Amino acid sequence: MTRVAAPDPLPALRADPYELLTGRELRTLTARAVRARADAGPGELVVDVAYAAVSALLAAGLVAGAANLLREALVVPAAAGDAVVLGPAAVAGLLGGAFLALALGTALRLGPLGVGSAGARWWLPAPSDRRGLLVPSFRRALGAGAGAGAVAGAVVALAAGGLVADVARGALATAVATTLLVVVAGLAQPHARAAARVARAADVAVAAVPVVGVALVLAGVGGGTAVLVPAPAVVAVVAAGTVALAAWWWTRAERLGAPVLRAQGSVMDQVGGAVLSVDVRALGRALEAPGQRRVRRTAALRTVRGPATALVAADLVLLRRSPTAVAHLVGLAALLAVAPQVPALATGAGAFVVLVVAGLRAAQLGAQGARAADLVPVLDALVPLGARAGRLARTVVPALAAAGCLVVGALPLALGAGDGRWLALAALTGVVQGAAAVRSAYRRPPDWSAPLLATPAGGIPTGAAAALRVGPDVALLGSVPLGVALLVGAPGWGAVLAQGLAALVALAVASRVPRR
Amino acid sequence: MSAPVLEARALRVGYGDLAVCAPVDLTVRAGEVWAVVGANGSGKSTLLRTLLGLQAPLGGTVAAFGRPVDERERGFRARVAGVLDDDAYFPGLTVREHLVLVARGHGVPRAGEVVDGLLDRFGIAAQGRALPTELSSGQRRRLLLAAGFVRPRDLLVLDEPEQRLDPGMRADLAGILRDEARRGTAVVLASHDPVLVGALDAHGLLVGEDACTVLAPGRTRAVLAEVR
Repeated sequence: MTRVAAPDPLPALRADPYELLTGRELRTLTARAVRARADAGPGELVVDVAYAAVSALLAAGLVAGAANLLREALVVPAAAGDAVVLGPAAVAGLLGGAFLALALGTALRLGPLGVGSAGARWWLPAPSDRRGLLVPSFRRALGAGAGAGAVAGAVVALAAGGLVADVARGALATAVATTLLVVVAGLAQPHARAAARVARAADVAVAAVPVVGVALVLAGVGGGTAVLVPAPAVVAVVAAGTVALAAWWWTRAERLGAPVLRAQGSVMDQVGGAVLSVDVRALGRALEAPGQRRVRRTAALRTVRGPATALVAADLVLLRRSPTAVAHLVGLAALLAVAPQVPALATGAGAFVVLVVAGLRAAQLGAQGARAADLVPVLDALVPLGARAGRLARTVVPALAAAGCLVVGALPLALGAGDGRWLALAALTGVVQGAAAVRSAYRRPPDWSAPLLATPAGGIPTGAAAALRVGPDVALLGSVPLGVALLVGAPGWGAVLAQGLAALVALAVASRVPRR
Repeated sequence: MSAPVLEARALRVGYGDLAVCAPVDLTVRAGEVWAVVGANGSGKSTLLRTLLGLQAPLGGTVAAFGRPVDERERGFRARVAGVLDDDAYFPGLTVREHLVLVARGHGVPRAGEVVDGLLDRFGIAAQGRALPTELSSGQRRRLLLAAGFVRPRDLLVLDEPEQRLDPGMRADLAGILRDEARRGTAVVLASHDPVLVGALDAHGLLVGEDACTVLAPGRTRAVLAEVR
């Protein structure tokens, strides 16, 4: 025990106005102290720069490769007499719209302005100007918005079959639009409730993109092939408006309150930790919109008849109280309905990938209870149910969510072929996806003692990579019968039986409780 | 009688639209020590955060030095020190550097000397060159407390300052807070420690769901001992 002996009063302190530091000086003082302790010399700096350059080049190569793959899939001339399809221009427009809505939601969740939790604790109580503290954050937000927008715009234009000029114009237009949305997010930041409402609206907008696709198909206007890029004059006007709004945003930054900046610091800490530990579940939790859950009235839970139904009812309440999750389920169903209108996704491997990915995502939206129970095991321990039975009960809602979406997605196939077995296959695949989502929710933390895999872009922690495959592995392998049926173009009874067996195996795997 | 340093009238605090305790009426004058007491979850910390401007009130008014509480005002930040349980640190800064940062941020002349004296007083002089991550939980608490005293202040708000402190440091903290009050600083603290509250002879505010009651200095310790 450390005994404090000095009983003298603490010195009376008075501030000297000439000694007060500005926000910028406070930031610089902190950075200087950190630098003084860092071991980084010129050699390390050169290595770091080279490493970053190689990583950026590799990332650019990966993005370009993905864009080319997308281009090959999308730019397929429709055969004469084909039904109306969604052409590359419409798909590019929809992808661009989804990206912009996603960008707005992400900017609102990440701040966009902040000082981190340490800055919030040690800088904000000082009587320094806040803008001096926020300069790096302001630059970062605008730069990240413009950079991400440029990359997304280039990819979308390239995938839609655009030429070099189209790609450049697409990149510029999307960069300007994304920057504008970052500025809008910044202006909404001080108003927590308004920001939460806009974030929810952005989520709904992302989910609404496939619905717009359905509307385009129904209206018969989605078949265009020409890449649509805004006129330079329009881009210039929007850019000028963005600059003016950004300047206004910056003048208001001084009035950002500590509660807002503390909340942003907390989110950034969680996001940073999740990214560093390659934990997508933690990332999802960190990026959950503020005030996302709405409790209008207490759930009556009349359907509860025992411990298993208690868990199912709890999962249903959780899903119902998340407007974003419900909107995304509707969006996924619409995505599955509209995907067959894109030639590359209508049949075979393309359709299989879309069904598996959308089905798993739908199941994950229904598996929030399982994810919460993995984080706080007492939630499952509250009911007198074995761990295995508890996990099976937790599978019901995810399976229903996935099956609902997949059945909607299989409707065009079933109606086109006049064969209801497509619907049976879809429903059983939904059970597989539900089991996969629960397996993913209860997966063990990554094994950080596993060796690193050296790659030109840096070391990949094999333990974390192995953890990430838990869940998607069952989703993929358990959907093989559906995949075979899609490849041969007909759902035989054998495929239905095999899919049923796969669902049983998936449930057994998902409900297995490993010894800790 | 001096003008109030802090004044709350029908102040409602909570989250969303939900108040966590009954409306609060409170007047704190220079040199007074007020102990906010109540059961776990009664709203003590929420009240303190609202008094510090770190949370918007749901209703009523709260003013410091005659003006509505607004932590965005530099004048407010210059005069009001808060010690909450924020366990966040710059990973590359030492204990001493954290305190120097606070002192210099508040324009304290000869910040290094002031910080060295405080490190000694709070029993963490030997850890001055250590990173906060290398400290024990109790030592980190001492660092947070020292940060509240390394800068000028007319109002000091502390949330359960006794947490994780050993008995010796608790006793010394009582002496430090008494000195603060003698010097004219208004002190508001939430506490579960009857000994600390008794040693301070503090006015009390019993926070509850149905009513928030002001307690005379002599009664605060007794009421705190009964709080469940």
